[in-house]
Amino acid sequence: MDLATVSLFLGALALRIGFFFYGIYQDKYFEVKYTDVDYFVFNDAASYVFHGLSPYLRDTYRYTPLLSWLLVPNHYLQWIHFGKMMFVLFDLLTGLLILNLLEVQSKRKKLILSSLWLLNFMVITISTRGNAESVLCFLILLSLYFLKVRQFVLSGLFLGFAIHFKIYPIIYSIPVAIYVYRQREGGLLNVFKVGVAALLALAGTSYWMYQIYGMEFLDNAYFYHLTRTDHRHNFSVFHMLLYFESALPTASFWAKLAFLPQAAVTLGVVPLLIRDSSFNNLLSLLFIQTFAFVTYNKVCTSQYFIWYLIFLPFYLARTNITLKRGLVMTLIWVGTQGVWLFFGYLLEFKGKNVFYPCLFLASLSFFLGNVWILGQFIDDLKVKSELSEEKKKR
Amino acid sequence: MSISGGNKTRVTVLFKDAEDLQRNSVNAQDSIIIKGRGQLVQRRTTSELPHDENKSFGTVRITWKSPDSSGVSVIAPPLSSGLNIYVSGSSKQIPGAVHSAKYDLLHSDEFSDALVRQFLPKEFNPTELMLKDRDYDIIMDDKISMNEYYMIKSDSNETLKYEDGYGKLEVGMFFAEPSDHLDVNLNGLRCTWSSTGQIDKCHKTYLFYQRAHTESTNSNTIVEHLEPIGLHPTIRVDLRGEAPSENCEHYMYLAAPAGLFIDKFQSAPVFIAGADDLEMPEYKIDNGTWGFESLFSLKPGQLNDIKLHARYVTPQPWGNSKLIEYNPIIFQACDTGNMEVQNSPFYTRSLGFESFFTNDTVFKHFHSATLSVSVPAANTNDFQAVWFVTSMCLVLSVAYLLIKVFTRQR
Repeated sequence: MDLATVSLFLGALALRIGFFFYGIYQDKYFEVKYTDVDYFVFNDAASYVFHGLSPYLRDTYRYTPLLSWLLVPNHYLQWIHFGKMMFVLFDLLTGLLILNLLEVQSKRKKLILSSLWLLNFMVITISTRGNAESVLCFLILLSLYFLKVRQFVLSGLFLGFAIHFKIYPIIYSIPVAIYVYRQREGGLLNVFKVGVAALLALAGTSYWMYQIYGMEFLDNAYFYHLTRTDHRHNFSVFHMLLYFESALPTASFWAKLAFLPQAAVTLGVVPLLIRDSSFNNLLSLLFIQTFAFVTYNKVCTSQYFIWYLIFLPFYLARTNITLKRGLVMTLIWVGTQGVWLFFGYLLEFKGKNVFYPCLFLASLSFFLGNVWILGQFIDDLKVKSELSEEKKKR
Repeated sequence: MSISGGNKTRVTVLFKDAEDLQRNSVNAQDSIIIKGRGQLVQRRTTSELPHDENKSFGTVRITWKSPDSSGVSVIAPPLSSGLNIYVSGSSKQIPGAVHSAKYDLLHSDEFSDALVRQFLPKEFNPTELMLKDRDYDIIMDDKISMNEYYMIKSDSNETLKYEDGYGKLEVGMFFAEPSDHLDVNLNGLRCTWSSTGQIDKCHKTYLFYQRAHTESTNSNTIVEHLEPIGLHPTIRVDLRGEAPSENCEHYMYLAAPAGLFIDKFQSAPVFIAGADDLEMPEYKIDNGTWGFESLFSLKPGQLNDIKLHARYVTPQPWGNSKLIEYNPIIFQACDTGNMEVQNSPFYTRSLGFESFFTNDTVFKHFHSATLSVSVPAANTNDFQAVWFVTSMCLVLSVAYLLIKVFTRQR
């Protein structure tokens, strides 16, 4: 590792340490806490585990028990913040994997692109506030790392663990299978290896957890997420509709069929991999796929943005989008989010009735903005695929 | 109000002082007339339960606190606001009730005849109750005892005389003599009526007892909401004027509608019963439970903040907001080791927040306030527009993206 990379890592570490200790300070002296509400849920669940009980005794704990196990040292050490250090560690390891997976000619560009994760204040805030997304990001990128180095069994195992951790990485199964199948050597056999390993890891960990915690594990970690109706305000375009539908007797079909547009777009973008099945194109596609998944999700909060931010450096490494267009896209993403946050603040903290039209239109603009941005990404990826195809022909 | 034969009626009038008693009460042959000067009256009627009454509850206590309630006094217990129905020993599930360790509790901000009739004998007619300016405390176990509390207003006279259905009538007129903190010395006279409706005899009477409830001398309101309230109101209880003392603890008893909830992992109540789900909207609370009941331990000498959260409420035809009101009860509870405090001649310790404390506990009540939270509700008239626009956006956006994927780049 050269000096510039070491410096980047030290900078990333220093920022995280700074945010971590600032968080402890804010928690102690400010009314509004720095620590994420969910972290207290994890910590309480870990407390039950520490006392030999089920983490599901903690209301609203809807994750794998493994996450609560990770935080059991909080209670051995009697220091609530220990778990955050673990999340920061996973966050840095994710940065290391991004650096490793990035394929760009210029050293400087590589450092700048990996800084999008390592020095990203949003990423740093999320892990130092005690959000567990960094663990999932690490598992996903580790799976992709093993895919790149053709360790298909290990890749499958980590993909399976990632799906066990949170269901959504299951959407990566098809692009990964197509990528592996279209490699020059071992196509179908390697698909089989990845598939069986992923299935074994997913089924094995889930069965293990089921053996210990029974149906409450399945109910909370899986079934709840399939049937949940998030009626409270969030960025999702479905929010107002689901609020109405959860309360009114004349429910329409969207509450049950909200997954359809999401599935159509998430699966619909996969053919973009057919023309160019390179590893770099796979990473770009996963970025677009995750972006689509989050855009069309029934519930959407800021932490979900992390799901696609891990792939952003890989996407930008190959993009042909001009700086001007990129700025417009960023402005739309940030601007529409800002408008939503303003009305969300009025509702949440001022108790103002801004449901309609303000908050509704704000959700809609954020959604439509994201759809337009997604369209730009799709166009861009197609241009890249076509160029790559032409290159091959030549 | 009578229920059946074998009644006993006792009226107690609490005057401000000896002069008030002498000047403003006139004894006639068959009645006593009291000139109104804000005297507090307790009317207690005790009756046997009708023989055909099919009892499916152990004890039922029904309390009603009017908007003009006079509050705690030496002859009146503290009551929670609105209508409260406490039921213990119930042989069946009571729909919508909060099930706590001691009793099932139903609550309504408004008086509900239908609700009350579910628990009282059919002879009882709740429409006769004067809800605007009188408090009621009705206890039914082996007998039924109805206590009515009200003030005699300055511009009116109260005539106390024998009426049909009173059974044995006794009237006590007292004023409180200065006494120590818990001791109550009531001085006055007691009159009884003969069965012919004439005053039989009046005796000078001196009552001495100890009471379980006192009011703090600090008349400042110590409870408020922190601003901004929003969907996450914080109750601030200012106990900076209170010092810790041995055998005493400060508490807040909070019963509130299901539109609000407490995150028990965040606020650590001593107990919480009822609607304690952390995610459900108000309209999906299990069994339609009206709300929750909770008790919080407070620290004297400092500000105490308790965080509440608002649930989403049912969309309404014209949107606006739903106003949710609640009255926290702030008190200091002290162990005395003295069981006499429960033997008040005017008030029997029964179901309510007291039942969570030992029988030797005395309570000092602080001046509280009615707090309100305005929870925005979506407008049902907007549903069609929301549905149409969202559906169009979803369908067209999917088409737009799929067309982008499957058409050749120019």
